[in-house]
Amino acid sequence: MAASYDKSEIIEFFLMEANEHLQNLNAGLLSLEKNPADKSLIDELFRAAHTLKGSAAMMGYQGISEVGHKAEDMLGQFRSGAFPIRKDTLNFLFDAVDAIKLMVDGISSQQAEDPLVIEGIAQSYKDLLQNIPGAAERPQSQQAVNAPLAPAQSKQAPLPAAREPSASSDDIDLAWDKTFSEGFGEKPDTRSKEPDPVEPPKDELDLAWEKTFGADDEPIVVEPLEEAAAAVPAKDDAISVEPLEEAAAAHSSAEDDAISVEPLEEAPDTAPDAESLKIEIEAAKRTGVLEKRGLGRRAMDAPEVEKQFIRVNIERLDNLMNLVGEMVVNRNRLERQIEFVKSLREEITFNQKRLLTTVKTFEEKYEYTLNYQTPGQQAPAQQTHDFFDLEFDRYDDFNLLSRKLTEITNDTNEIMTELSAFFDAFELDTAKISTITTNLQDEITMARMVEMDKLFQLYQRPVRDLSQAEGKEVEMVVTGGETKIDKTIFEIISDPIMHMVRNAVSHGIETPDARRKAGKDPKGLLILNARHEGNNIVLEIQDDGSGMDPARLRTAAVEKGFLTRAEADGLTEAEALNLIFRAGFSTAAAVSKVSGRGVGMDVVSNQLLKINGRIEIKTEPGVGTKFVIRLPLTLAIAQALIVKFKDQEMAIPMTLVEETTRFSFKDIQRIAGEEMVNLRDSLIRLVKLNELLGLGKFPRKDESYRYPTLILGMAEKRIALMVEDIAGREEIVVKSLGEYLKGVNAFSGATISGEGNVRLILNISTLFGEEPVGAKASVISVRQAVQPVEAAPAAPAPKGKTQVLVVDDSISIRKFVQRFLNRAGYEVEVASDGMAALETMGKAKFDVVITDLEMPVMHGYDLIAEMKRNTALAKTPVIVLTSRAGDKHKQKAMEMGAQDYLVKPFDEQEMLTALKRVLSAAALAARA
Amino acid sequence: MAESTRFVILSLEGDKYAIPLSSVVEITAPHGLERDKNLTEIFEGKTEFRGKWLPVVNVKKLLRMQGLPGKVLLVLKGIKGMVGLLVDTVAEILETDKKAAPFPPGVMNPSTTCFRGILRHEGALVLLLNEDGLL
Repeated sequence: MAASYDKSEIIEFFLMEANEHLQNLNAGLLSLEKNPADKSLIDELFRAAHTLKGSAAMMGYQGISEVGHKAEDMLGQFRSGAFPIRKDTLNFLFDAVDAIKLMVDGISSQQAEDPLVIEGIAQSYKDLLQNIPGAAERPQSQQAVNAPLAPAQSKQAPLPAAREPSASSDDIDLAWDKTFSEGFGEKPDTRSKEPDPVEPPKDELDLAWEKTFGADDEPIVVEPLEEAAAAVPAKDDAISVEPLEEAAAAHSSAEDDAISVEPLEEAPDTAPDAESLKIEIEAAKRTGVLEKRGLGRRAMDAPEVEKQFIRVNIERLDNLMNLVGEMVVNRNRLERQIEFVKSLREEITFNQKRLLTTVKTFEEKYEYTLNYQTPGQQAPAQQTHDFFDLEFDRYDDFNLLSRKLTEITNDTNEIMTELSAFFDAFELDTAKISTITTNLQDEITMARMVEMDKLFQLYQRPVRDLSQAEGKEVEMVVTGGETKIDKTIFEIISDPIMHMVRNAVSHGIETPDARRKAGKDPKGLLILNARHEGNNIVLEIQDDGSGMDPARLRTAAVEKGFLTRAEADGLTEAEALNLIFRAGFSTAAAVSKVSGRGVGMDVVSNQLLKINGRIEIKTEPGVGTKFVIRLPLTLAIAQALIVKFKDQEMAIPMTLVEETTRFSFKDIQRIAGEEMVNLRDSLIRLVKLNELLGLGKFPRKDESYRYPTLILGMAEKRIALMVEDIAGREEIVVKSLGEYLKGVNAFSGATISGEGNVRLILNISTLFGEEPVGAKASVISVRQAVQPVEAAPAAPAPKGKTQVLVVDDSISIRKFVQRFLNRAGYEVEVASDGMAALETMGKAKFDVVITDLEMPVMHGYDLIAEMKRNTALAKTPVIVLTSRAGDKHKQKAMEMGAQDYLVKPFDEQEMLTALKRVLSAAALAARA
Repeated sequence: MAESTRFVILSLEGDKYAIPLSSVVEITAPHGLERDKNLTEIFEGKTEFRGKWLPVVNVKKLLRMQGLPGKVLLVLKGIKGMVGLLVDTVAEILETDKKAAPFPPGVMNPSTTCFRGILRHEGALVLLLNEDGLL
C-alpha cells in the first residue's frame, strides 16, 4: 500500500537516484551490447532496474515503476538465459530507459506521466515476446538480422508464452501484483492488455511500430510477417504477402512511404487494440510525444525547466563561497585603501589650495612694495625712465620666484584636477567591483539556499498526529515559506524547531473543551512564519494556547530542585521564563506527555547558539506563546564588530549583539560576587574581554573613562561585554580553525582583516554557558544534553528513543523510511548496503535493523548471516523490507533469523506494528 | 611600514605549521639518535649536537597525531634550552609583515599550549608553534 503522506520533500532524492540509475543503465546496456556474455553486468543492470522500479513505486510514480518492471523482467530473462541478448531485446531496454528518463524529466517540471509512453513500452515488450519464439526457427538469413549477441543459455527452455513469467520472476510478479492491484487500483492495468494466447497477428503492429519509431536503420523482418500472414484466418488470405515484402524492401531502402499499411489494417483480428494503438501512435507522431523516446534526443527533448538546472556538488559551492570570501576580504581591503587615498587627496587638495592662496597673497602684497634693492636682473633704467613703475613688469629674483611659484601651483592644481577626475572614476569603478562582489556573494549564498517551506512541511504530519493523539484540534498555518535559508543552517535548526512545534501542540494548545471554556475557538492555531530581516532570518513559532505562566515555572523550578523558594520568588518574569532553557528543566506535566521530547529547550538554545542564532520568548497566559528565532543568513560570511585589545583585533558576530553602549568602572556594581552594570534599570552581568581572555586589566585610564560595552542577548539572558575599543563593523569571512583547535571553544573560527592579518572570531555562546572559555568540548550533542534530564532525580526520565538502522541501496527508500520513522519517534541511522551496515553497527548499538535484500557490496541475506555470526549483533532483531514478495525469499529470510518480512511498497501502520512486535519480543527475550 | 617577521613553514602529516625562524638553530637530518629510558614517550631519543646531548621530540606524538616520526630534525632554542623536533618536511621560509593572531593566555588549555596563534599562509591558516610550550 502506498504511504499516504506528502512525498515532495524527498522527490529530489528520488530524482537524483533515478538519474543515477538511468545513467548506469544506459552505460551498462552499451557495455552489454559489446560484451553480452558479461553476467555480472546483467546482474548490475537488473539490480538498477529493480531498485528504480521499487523506489518509483514507493514514490507513487506508477508509470516509471511499470516500465522499470518491464526492463527488470527482460533483464531477469537475460539472467536466467531464457531470452537471448540481441539487438531487438537490447533496443527494447534502451527504449525503456528512454521512456523512464522522459517520465523522470517530467517530474521536475510537474508533468504527468504519459500513458502513451507506458503503453508503448508495454506493447513493445509484448511484441518482443511474440518475436522471440520464432527466432530459432527462422532461416539463417533471418537470424542474421536478429542474431543473438549471446546465446541463450537454455534454448530449449519453453519461452514464456508471453504471459507466463519465468520461474525466476514469480516473486517479482507477486510483488508487482501486490503493488498495483492493491496500491494503485485506480491505475488501468496495462498488463491486462498483454497478449492472450490467441493474439492478433503482430505483424501489423510491428510495421506500425517501426514506421512510427523510425526503425529504418534495421531491415524489416519479412519472415515473421509471412508467418503472421499465414496465421491470419482464411478470410484474410486475400492479403497478399508480396506487397509486404516489397514494402519491407522499400522500407529497408529508407522509403517509408512504400510501406502499405492499409492491407494490414484490413486484417480483422488486428482490430480494436491494434487499431486504437495505431491511431494513438499516429496521433502521437503528429504531436511528437513518442518521438521523444529515441536515443540521442535527450538533451534537446529535456523539458525547458530541466535545461535550466545542473547539479552542483555542495563541496564545489563551498569552494566557490570560499573564493568569494577571499574576494570580499580583498574588496574590504580595497575599500580601506580607497578611504586612505581619499583622505590623502583631501589633504593634498587642501594644502594645494593653501599654497596657492599663500603665494597669491604674498605676491599681491609685496609685488610693488619691495624696493629696488632686490637682487637679480632688472629692466634697463635708461629705456624706462619715462615710465612709471607700474607700466613694466619687474624681473628681480623675488618676482621671478613669485611667478614661478604661482605657475607651479597652477600646474599642480591642474594635475590635481586631472588626478581627482581619475580618482573619481577609479572610485566609481571600485564601487562597481564592490557591487559585483556583493552581488556575486549574494548569488552564491542564494545557491546554497533552500526554501523554509521544505522545513515547515516536515512538521505538518507530526502536528496532525500529535494533535490527534492528544485529542486536540490544531490548524497549522505557514507564512513566508518562500523565505530562503542556508542549507547548513536548515539542517541544524530542523530538530530544534520540531521540538518547539511539538511543545506548542503538546503543552501550548489546550484541548477543545478547555478552549471552549476559555471562550476560544476549539481549534487551536499554530503559526510558523519566516521572514528576512536585514542579514538575518527570523523564524516565529506562535500558538494561541494557554501561554506560559511564570508562577508555574517558578514552582516547577523549586520542585525540581533548581532553585530555592526564595530564589524563585526573586526572579523577574523574564528570568522565570528563562528557566525553560535550563538543562533538564520541565514542568511535571510536560514530561509525561506523549509528545516525548527528544531534546529540551536548553538543547534548542545551544543548537541555535552554535550558529550564532538567538531565541526570544513572548508569552501571555491564556493568550499564547511566540518564540522568535533570529538566525544569520549564512554561516560562511557574517557581519561582525571588530574589537581591539592592545594591537590585536578580534571579531564578534553581530547576530547576538543587541546594542553597544559605554560604561565606566564607576558604573560597575558588585552583587553576589558578580560585576553588574545597570542598563535602563536592568542589572546585567558584566564581563571584561581582557580579563576573560587572560590579558590582564584594561590599560589605566581615568576612572570616569567610559569603555565601549556590547550588550549581548540570547533568549532572555543578557551579558554586557566591556572591550577596550571597537574598531568598526565589518563583513567577515569565517574560516574554520581546523580539527586540532576544535577544543578551543573560546573561538568559533578566524577571519582575515583587510590588511591581511588574522583575527580570531570570539565564540559568544561560551559567555552564556557555564564552562570556562578554555575548556574543551564546547559542542554538546543532543544525546549528551539530554542525559542530565535523565539523571535529574526528581524529573521522570524521558524514555530514550529506539535506535533503528535502515539498510537499503535506494536513497529514496532510505530517506522515506528514515523520515517516516523519525516522525513516529524513532531515531534512525541509514546504511546503503550490508557492509556499510556492519560498519555502522560497529560504532553504535541499534535496537532493530530494517534491511533490503538485494544490495550491492553485501546482500541482505549475507548481512543477516553476518549479524547472526557476531555475538554482539546476534540478538538485534531484523526486519526485511524488500520488493521480493515470493514465499521462497520470505522463507529463506525467516530461516536465516529475520524476525519479520515486509514487502515494498509497505504500509506505514504495517511497519510500525512490525517494529513494535519485534521490539517487544526482543525486550522479553532480554528479560528472560 | 610594518615590521616583517620570518617563519619556517614545516609540515606534519600534510598539514602546514609555522615556527619563528629566530628560534631555529639548525635544520638537519636526525643522525645517531639514541633511546633514553629517562625520557618520556614524546621523545624519540637524544642525539649529540655541537658536543651536547639534544633531546629529540616526536612532534606527532606530542600533538597526538598518527604516522611515523618525521625525517627532518629542527633544532630549536627555547627558554628551557635547546630541543630537537622531528618533522616531515621543511617547506620554505615565509617572510611576512602580516600579524599572526595570538591565542590569548586565558583560552589556553593543555592541548593548545603548543601553539602561539594562527598565521596566514598562501590563503590558508596555519598554526604557529610555540617553541616554549612544546616541552
